[in-house]
Amino acid sequence: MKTAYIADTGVFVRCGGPDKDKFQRLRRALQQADVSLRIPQRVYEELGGDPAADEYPSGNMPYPDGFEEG
Amino acid sequence: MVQSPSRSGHPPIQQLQTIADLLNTPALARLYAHILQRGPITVSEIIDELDIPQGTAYDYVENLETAGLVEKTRDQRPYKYDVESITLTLSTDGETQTITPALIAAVARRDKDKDIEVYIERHGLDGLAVALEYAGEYVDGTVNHRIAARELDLSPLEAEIILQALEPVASEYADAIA
Repeated sequence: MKTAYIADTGVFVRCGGPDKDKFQRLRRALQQADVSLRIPQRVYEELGGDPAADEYPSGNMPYPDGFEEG
Repeated sequence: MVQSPSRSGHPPIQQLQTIADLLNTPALARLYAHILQRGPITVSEIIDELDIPQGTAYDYVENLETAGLVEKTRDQRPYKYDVESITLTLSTDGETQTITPALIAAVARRDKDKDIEVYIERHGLDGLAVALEYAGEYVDGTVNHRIAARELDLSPLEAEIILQALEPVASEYADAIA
């Protein structure tokens, strides 16, 4: 059996961008476990789809590098 | 119309003025929220824990005491203060909003949490009060960011950002918000 890990928008808001410690810790944990997160199309769109969110410090996150798009 | 269950006998309009100050002055709101959380507490403990100037702290506590929002719980020096928990319900034509300690605690975070600051700039304090209600349900797990986004007319991302920003307040005041 194969396990897929699916992440929702909240995970990425919580972690912030690559400059944030939480993001780095998540990436490290994923690398160590040798898993990647899959994100649904909807989450992908939510993360990148709102120019208004750019005003928020937490809204300024690039598309998660290295994560596979589901 | 202004209603305030004023157990302290302080008149509602006088309280309204101080509450307006609380909402406009994050440092004052921070001090109020801190007494709410940690009281009974002395002013010197507040100064140490919040790192605010001594004169400011004494002025703020005096203002809050005059308005009946905090009270002395010890009559000898050093005085200790505790808060009178407030709720103030404002009704204007067709719109009602309640100002609660949780809302004041949320405002108190605006200096430190720029997500809250931006949200207030975009949606006002009324918007923040409504978002805080959703944050209570978000903490309970009965609402997610997509439902909040739809009902508050925000993008899902903006909703998730403000719900997470308000999460600590919503958790701390869970009983009061529900």
